[in-house]
Amino acid sequence: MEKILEVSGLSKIFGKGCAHCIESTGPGFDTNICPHCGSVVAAHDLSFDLHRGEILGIMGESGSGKSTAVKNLYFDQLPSGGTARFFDPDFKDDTAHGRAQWDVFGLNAAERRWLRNHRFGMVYQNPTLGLNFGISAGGNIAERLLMSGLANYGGIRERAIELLRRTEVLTERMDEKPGSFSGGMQQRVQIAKALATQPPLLFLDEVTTGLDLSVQAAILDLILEIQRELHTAMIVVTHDLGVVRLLTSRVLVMKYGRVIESGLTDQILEDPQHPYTQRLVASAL
Amino acid sequence: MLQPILNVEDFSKTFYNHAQGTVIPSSHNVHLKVWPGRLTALVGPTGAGKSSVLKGIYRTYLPSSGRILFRTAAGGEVDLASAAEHVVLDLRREEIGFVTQFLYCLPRRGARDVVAEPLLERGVPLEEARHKAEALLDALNVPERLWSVPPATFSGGEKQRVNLARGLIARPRLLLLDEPTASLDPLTTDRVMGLLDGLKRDGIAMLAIFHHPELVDRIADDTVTLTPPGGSA
Amino acid sequence: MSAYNFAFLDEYAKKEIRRAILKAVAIPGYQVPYASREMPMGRGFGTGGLQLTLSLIGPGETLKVIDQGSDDSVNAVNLRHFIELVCPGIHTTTHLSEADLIQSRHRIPEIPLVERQILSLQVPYPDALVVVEASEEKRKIMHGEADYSRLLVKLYEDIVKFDEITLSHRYPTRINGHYVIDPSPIPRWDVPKMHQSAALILLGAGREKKIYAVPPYTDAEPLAFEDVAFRVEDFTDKATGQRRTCQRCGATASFLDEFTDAHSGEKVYQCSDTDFCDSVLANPELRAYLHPALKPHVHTHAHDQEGI
Repeated sequence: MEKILEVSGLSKIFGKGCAHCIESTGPGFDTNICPHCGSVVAAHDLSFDLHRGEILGIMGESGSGKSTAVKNLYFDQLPSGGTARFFDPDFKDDTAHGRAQWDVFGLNAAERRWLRNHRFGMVYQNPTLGLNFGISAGGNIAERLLMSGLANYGGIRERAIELLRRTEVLTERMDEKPGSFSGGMQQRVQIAKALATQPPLLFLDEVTTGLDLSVQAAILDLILEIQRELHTAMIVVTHDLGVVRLLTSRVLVMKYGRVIESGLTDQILEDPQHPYTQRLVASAL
Repeated sequence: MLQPILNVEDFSKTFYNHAQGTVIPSSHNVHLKVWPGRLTALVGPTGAGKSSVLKGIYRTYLPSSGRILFRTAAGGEVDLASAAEHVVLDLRREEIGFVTQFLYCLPRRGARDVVAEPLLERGVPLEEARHKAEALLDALNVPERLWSVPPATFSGGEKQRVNLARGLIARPRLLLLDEPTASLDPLTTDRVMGLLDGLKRDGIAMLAIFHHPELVDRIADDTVTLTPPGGSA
Repeated sequence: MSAYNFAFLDEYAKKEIRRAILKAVAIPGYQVPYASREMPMGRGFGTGGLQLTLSLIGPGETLKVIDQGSDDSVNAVNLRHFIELVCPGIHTTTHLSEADLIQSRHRIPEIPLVERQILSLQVPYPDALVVVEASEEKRKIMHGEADYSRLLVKLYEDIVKFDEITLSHRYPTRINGHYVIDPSPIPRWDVPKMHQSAALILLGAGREKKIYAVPPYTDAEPLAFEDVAFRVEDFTDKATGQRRTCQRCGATASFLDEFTDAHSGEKVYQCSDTDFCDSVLANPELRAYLHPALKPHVHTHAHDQEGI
């Protein structure tokens, strides 16, 4: 399968940073806060590839920096260093804005917005980040469709119904605001909204954390089914080994902003090499 | 003589448990070949590292040393021990199958869909994949009433049959089998052996571990004997 | 009044406003910020439209001032009086055909304007996006990228709730294919008149300090969906199925205001545009007159009967 994303040396430091930040933080120092200047090294030298239709996991405990990559790729943050290249599988010569290859961290605001609206999708752990609670569930999906250029009311409504049905949201409730939905249903609406534009690349940031176990299982199942249908490439951020096992085929394990170990998911779970990974896997319930 | 599809050269696996500070040797100095249309059996006492060899080939374990040379459909040779991750994933999807002893699946997926999955991953249409899955489940004596039921609640033997069906359905060029009939009654075991014979006739290469020596005698074309590390019996 | 400069504003103020006007004409629909002066009346009484008029009018030119279509409402009278006071040498009129400059609050006249005329509209809120985004910085980015999806979502939600878009005034309108403007609280009826108008239309918001324009012969398209069209007001009496007419002049196709008759307590209907009403009274053959820009949006019974 062809490559869809290539991240090289991504780093993110909060604070002014100093010459000692990198060498005084990390798993060896049991911290990601620089003792000299107080800056937080959220991620350092993060590199990975993603191929079309693949699900990559980024796993770690709190403070590991696991969300950093997706936050920067989705432009919720700007990186401190590193590059990323996106190889657009949907590129056609005739689109006004499209390109075959994007230098993701070297774009202007309008280009970043175009990628966000037309090629990427994001599902957050907190639904208030991904949904507008002031408009209906259907309206949330309509908004994303309108941003991508659909201008037909009937068409928008049909597509919204189709997406909500696909994510198992009761379509009778599509005109209600998400505030009245359960947590699990809010996540489903978020997934429907993220998929509205059929993005080739989807980011999922701890999307089932905090949900009841039975709801988690159903949503993970849904994500897999959809992935199979649409061949969406995904980056799944989680602290949960069960999610890693069920969804991902490759995984990065992070601690204090560094990648500790990476490999095929079954290999990481059954034959972890690094002491930290071994402890992590052994402690799974 | 045909060229082997798999050539394992001096494979060893040792586990390092950092928390306990222990070193656990497993397979050591394993050499073996597997040919298309033939079944190679791995034999040896418990602790000799037979499962580790299969897992090392499949890359569930990282080989500690050695080369695992696989001849791809395209005609090239790949060392599975050091191949890039996405290469291994592509081969697992298209060419190398593994019937393990464990079945991990999603709570909501019925047995038929669990079995159909490898075909779906290759892009086979849903209806066709399901038909084939049903045929295999039937051949393995899994009653129809279980086809839509998630296997989580199945007995050991039923799970094993679902596992087998899933491993067989995509007809990979190389099939690895870890005690495929361990929990099965004699009748079903017979069926399975018949199916494996059929795969041989279709040119599929197999490397298998059987818990009963009679099965090895019955179906293996080649045997490789492993000894436990340190020569302990 | 010799203590005041001609048109009340000093020449620097007029120059700044004229430059803002030129910029607004050069970028159709774009809200140009300007240094809106304090006028001798409170904000909300038309100071934006007034500053436009004062910067443009000169001796010998003719001014018409209307409020809700009427020349003799209190605000129109006060504004006209003030302008006459500070602009010695200008003429004023109630007849549209005589006017060079028309200052208006909330209505566009029924008879089409011609090339030599300028319409100056009074605007309370210049930004169509203010209903969906509170931050001006974010609104500017949305305007810049012509990203009006959130506004369209609002229209979507209307259709979901009421089966139609229920906005009656301030209908968001796209100018020259890019910027969407709030055309001021003119009714939907008046929005098509902005499309390809022969006259320049200026919009001034005094309190919000913005000037924008719909230049002559420019596209002005009300926001709608491909399959849910823009509709103008329908003056059909539901009881009789007939289109209401003006009880004063008999016009059958004008925009009507609804009054309650002081004596009978009944609802009566009269042309909102008083000058038009006078014209029809004087020339009854104008009774069925309809502004050409409105023809695509209005289906009259006569048309239906003739199978057109």
